Amino acid sequence: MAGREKGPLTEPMYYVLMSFLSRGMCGTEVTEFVERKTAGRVRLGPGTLYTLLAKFQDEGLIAETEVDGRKRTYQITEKGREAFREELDRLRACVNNGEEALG
Amino acid sequence: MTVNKPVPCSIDDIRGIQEWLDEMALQGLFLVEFNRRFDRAEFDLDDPRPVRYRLDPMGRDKRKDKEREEPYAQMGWKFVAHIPRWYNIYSCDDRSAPELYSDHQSLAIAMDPLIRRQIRNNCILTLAAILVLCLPFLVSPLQTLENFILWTDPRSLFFFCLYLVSVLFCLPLLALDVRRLLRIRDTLAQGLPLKAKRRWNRPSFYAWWIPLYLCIFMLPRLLFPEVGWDICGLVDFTPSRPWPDIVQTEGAGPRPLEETLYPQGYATFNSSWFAPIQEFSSADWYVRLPSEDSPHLSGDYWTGVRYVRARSPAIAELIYRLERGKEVRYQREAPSYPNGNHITDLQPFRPWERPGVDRAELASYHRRGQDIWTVLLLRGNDVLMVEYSGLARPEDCIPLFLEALDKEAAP
Repeated sequence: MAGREKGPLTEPMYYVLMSFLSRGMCGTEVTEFVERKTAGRVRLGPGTLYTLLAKFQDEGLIAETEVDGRKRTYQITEKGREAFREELDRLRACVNNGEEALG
Repeated sequence: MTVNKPVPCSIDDIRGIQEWLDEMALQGLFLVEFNRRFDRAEFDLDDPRPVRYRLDPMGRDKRKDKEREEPYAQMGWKFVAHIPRWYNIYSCDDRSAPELYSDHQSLAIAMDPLIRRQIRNNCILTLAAILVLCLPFLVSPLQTLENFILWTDPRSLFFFCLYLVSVLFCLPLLALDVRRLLRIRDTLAQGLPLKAKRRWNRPSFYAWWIPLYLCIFMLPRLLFPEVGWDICGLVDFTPSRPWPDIVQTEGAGPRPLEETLYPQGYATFNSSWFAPIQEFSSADWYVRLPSEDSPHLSGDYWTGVRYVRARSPAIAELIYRLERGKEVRYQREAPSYPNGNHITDLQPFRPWERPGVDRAELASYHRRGQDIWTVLLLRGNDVLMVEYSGLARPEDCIPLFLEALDKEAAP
């Protein structure tokens, strides 16, 4: 299955998608995950987070699994996993190229 | 206590609006709401403190926008107000909280629905403007052209041209408006920060814009007061050509008329270069015939002359076609008119060879016991239409009109 067709992921996109790999999460949990994972380097603002969640949902990369009042939980789809893998391969190639260039 | 202030930024200046609101907070003014036109903002007075105000572009679904208020609040951003159809405004006084949009690309994504909405609105506005201008021409092109050319107030023509120019001027502005938004989105999509635009003073803007606007719309009245038509009745009217009256036209027939003549009609003049028609006169001469004297005739017995002196032969040609079209419409509909006003024995317009004229056509019919003929003549800048009911034949009467066409009226 082809992954995302709209170009490379930005850093916040990459980490938001990564957060769903292990389990389903709600918005607050995603923020905490990203902040913990990047040791505070990437901090998601609420506008960024909910815009990306809505976009990923529209593109079919994640799906809403549970709604508890205002709290919504999302899970990554197979398309989302594929998109993440593609992005990972791209980043890996970038790193390899960079290391080769440095010698 | 509340304070009202003019907004010094354009609605698409996201950074500018945010910075201005932040500055207001440092002066102890905290946003309450914007008015509907987004030209004034209302503030609450309180102790000055640093507060960040950020704009969140409105999405496709208002309900989803509303649902975001709670999770935003959990992350330190409180809903303050909205700018209708554009942004929700959030504020945060916690310095440690991350920005509402922590990266520019996500703000670019959030702007997508707003840009689509703006493009759609501008397209609708453009289509509506074009439709409003073109509608009369689409529904009834001949009638519209006729109204244009025969308008009694040429200033109306001026206004139409002004509206046309305004629309043609505004349409590129709408396109530029969308282009500006697309540029903002592209800048953000490249991960670059937005720059605040130069602030402007709305009251002073209106101070020169309103007089300018009034000047433009008062211009025709201020500059062209003499452009309007002079209208007068037949009593005060000296036509530019000495048209024959019904006594003279009847004189050309088998029965010279002796009854009292009743003239009626009016004339309009305009010497301005703005007016496509320099003179329009409509004169009727009629008599009431006693039925015992003329059993074959009943009702009014008349000659009607409509004369137009156009600015150029091309306009005269157009008016000829319009007048002909109007008469043809009448002849097409009149056979079914009720109350004895219907016509019978119609012989529609046919070319009528007359020396000394560019074009001549003749039509005839029968109405209320009378034989009526209509002649349309075009010569240079002149258009003449004669309707006649009586005993004389067109071949006998029309030379009198052609003769009059050659003469200038005595002053």
